[in-house]
Amino acid sequence: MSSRRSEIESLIGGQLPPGLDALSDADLDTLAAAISDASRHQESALASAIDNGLNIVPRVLRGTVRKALFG
Amino acid sequence: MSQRLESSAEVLKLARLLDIEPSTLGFLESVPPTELRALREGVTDLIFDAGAKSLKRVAAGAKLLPSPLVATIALKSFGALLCARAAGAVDPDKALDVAKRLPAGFLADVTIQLDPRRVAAIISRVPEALVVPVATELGKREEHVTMGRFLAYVPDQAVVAAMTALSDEAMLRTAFVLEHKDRLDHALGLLPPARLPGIIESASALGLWPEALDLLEHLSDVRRGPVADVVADQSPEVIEGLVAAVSDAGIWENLLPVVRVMSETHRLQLAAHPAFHEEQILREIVTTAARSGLWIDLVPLLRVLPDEVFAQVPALVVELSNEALTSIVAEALESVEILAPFIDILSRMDEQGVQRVVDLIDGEHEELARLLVDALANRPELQDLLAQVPPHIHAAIETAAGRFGLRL
Repeated sequence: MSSRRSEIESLIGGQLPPGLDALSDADLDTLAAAISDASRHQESALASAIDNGLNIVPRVLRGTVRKALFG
Repeated sequence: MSQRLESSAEVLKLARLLDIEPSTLGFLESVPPTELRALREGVTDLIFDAGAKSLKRVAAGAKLLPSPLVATIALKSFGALLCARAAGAVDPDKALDVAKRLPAGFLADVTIQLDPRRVAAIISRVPEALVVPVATELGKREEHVTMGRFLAYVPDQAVVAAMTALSDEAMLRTAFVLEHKDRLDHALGLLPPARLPGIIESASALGLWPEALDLLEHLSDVRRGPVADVVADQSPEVIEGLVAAVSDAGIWENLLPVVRVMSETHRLQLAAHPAFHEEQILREIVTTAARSGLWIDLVPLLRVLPDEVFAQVPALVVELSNEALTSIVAEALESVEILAPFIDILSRMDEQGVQRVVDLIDGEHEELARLLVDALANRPELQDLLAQVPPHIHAAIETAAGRFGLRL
């Protein structure tokens, strides 16, 4: 089983149902890559948003505030 | 909703979630919509779970600060993405108090980044005064998928207010991807009566017939009838465009129920259009009706086709697969309304067509023989009609009864 296939299976919490299972490996690759790109993009956008959000805090306090607000 | 259109709508939603062009996911159009929905929900969880835990502290902090200050920080510092992620953990009263202090453009940015399922308690209480400007902004940005997710959680009155503010195109595109479409009939019933016919008139010019037919499919028969009449009232060029669009998209199962609820006059008017008389179009219609159990929706159209056009139908029925032919017979035996015209079709079959049916009853396909024998043996209310079946077919049914040990 390709790793792409198992990535999608983990997303839907089980084996691929018949319609998705019938997709070619190339199509499943395209799908899994798009999901992975979106997830990565989301994480980096969130990290940038947190950095920007701390701009109003004086530089010396940013570490403390970041820890207090975002863990 | 037809599976095909439902899958198309799911592909649009998934593409928006992944921020890619829908055409990139064109290979998913053949996947059943339930599978695509499960996939989309999994992707939504993956994307929206990122950082959700840590943002709860931001939400807790918001509770301690006055709303005007939270609004200022949200707008000038945190930005839409952080606000959207933290919103699920904010007390709904506080969130609404902050939201009404923010400009519609920013709220639209936040809405795009929201997972509405996580903020349903907030969205369900957003007043019309906020829904309308945000919906207008989303409409301008062509964020139809976002709007469809958002409107699924607001009260009907707010849906109506938003729909009123949208252009025909934005409304058609939004309704197509709306979550929980079972609410459409009630919500659209609250719109001014002239709006829906206007939208249908726009559908052709906008090239949005699939979206319009999907909208009609979600209306009750009572509401759909008058709007369906508007379809029939369109110019010959528009009807030609409709037939071509439906044929291209393979969505006859969406048009046939619309034709069924038209007034007789309007159905006659539509059936007189040459676009419906082409052999290939009739073949698509007959095949779809047989395959999808929609013979009951097809019969009203068959009844009003000009005689010379109806005369093509028996040959098209003969072309159907054994399963499709059996499916029509099963459907016809459920309702006299369908059975009578079907027997008319059998009566008009040429010798070769009748022989095909006889061969099927004689042995190739026992299910068909059993259905017909059972009807003749046990359905006294159908006897008069079944007596009109062509003699060769009737004889084949009697022979089949003998094979099953029955005497008719």
